[in-house]
Amino acid sequence: MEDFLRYLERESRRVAVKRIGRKIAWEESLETISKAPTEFLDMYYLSEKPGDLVIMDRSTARDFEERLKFLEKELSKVRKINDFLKLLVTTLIIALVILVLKIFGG
Amino acid sequence: MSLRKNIVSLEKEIKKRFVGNDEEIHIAILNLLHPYSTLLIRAPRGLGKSTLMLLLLKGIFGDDFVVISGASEVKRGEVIGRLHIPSLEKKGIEKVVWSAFVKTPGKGIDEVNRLNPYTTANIYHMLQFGEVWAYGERRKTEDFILISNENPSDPTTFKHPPPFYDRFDIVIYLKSLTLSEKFELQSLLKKYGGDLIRTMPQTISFDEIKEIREEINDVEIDVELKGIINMLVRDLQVCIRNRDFSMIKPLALCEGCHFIRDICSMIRIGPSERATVILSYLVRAMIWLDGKCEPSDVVNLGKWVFPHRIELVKERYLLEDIIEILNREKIKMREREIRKEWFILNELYKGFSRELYRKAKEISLEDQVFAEELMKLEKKWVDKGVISFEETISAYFK
Repeated sequence: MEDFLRYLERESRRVAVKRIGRKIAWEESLETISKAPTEFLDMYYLSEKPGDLVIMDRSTARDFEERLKFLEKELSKVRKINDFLKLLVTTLIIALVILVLKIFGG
Repeated sequence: MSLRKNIVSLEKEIKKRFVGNDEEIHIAILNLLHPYSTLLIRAPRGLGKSTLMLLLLKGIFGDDFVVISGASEVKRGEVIGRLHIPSLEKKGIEKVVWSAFVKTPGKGIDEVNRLNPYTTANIYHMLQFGEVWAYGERRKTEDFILISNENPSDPTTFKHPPPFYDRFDIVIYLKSLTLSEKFELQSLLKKYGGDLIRTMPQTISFDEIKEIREEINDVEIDVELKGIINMLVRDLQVCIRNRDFSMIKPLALCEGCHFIRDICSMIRIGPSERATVILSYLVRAMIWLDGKCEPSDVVNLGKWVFPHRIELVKERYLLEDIIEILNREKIKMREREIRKEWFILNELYKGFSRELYRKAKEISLEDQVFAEELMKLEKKWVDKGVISFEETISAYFK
């Protein structure tokens, strides 16, 4: 027990506090720790390193949802164009192969 | 001075013959420096477990050591002692002839995983009580060094009980050699005529090691390092799930446990108090041999003290899991510093303060080790009538 109290005493000496009469005051460090939640917008726009928990307010979540829906729509549109182009390229390649065979295959 | 020189020379001679694993060799050397030291070397086949064991034994005992093998002679079950047949035949007296393994201070066990349960029980008793029994006779064992090895992935492995492994002070895991290290090994084999062990000189005697052990026994550990050792072990012991012997009763805290990301959520069974003892030995040895031991060194020592002493909730690769736990532990210790936990507890020990107590209760919800200590204080305050039981954190956890 004596050692434990000595340990507490030693650790306490390293802590910077102000003593005003019987009151004790200290400034809370703003050091970010991995468990502290990070604001989503701070993480996204300010490149802040995220903690274990990322939070966002309702309006940001709505914006996020709308943007996701918009991007989903865009994605499906682009995917359709992509499919069409793939089909076109395949058809052209087949046509080209047939053409080459006709010309050089006798 | 010459004692230190000799032990340094032992490490150098081993490193001259054993490629890679420098950190592991150093920790194995530190582990020799306390009484009845036991070391377990773990690795898959062919990575040099037996070579390292023999290099260590030869460097200390010359040729005067005994190695028993889990794969061969232990099948007779006479590792400890046998009956003296002439005495039995002529006089009808059961006289025990103690084995060389029992009598020598330099002991080695090759392939611990293959020891049969009978031999394991005998060795376990020797490690636990410092004595051996055979045919109703007992013999006390003098101070010794036991170096063992095993391949945990060996399919012929016996599953030994966890308390048996707990008796090994540390476990080191050998890594396979990198490309450049393989070249180095080829050069070494050429240099030493293909026999690394026979060329290993005896650099120190066991008597000198015993002298070192006495010197190290007088080394004082700084109270800060003691704090880190104790906190490290307690943090790994503290999860209370499925237990009924904790101050904080199960379910009260575990229901909807918010320590999901904490260390305790990763551990099913925590280390024994032996881990504290071994960490203290190693810290003393490090101060004696290396001249210093930093708080980060203490946490790092956990890599060798904990793997065979704790059971994880989910195990991927044991050593990496332990390293992750130790990294989390460093963060946890830093968080404690930021929250000024020990300062607050110290102030509360000096005298009750309502504001600090409120802050301490908040901290208790985040830190079980702190909660345990606060609850001890609360009991005193409740007894003195300073606070009511209903407002205590103990009541909240009940």
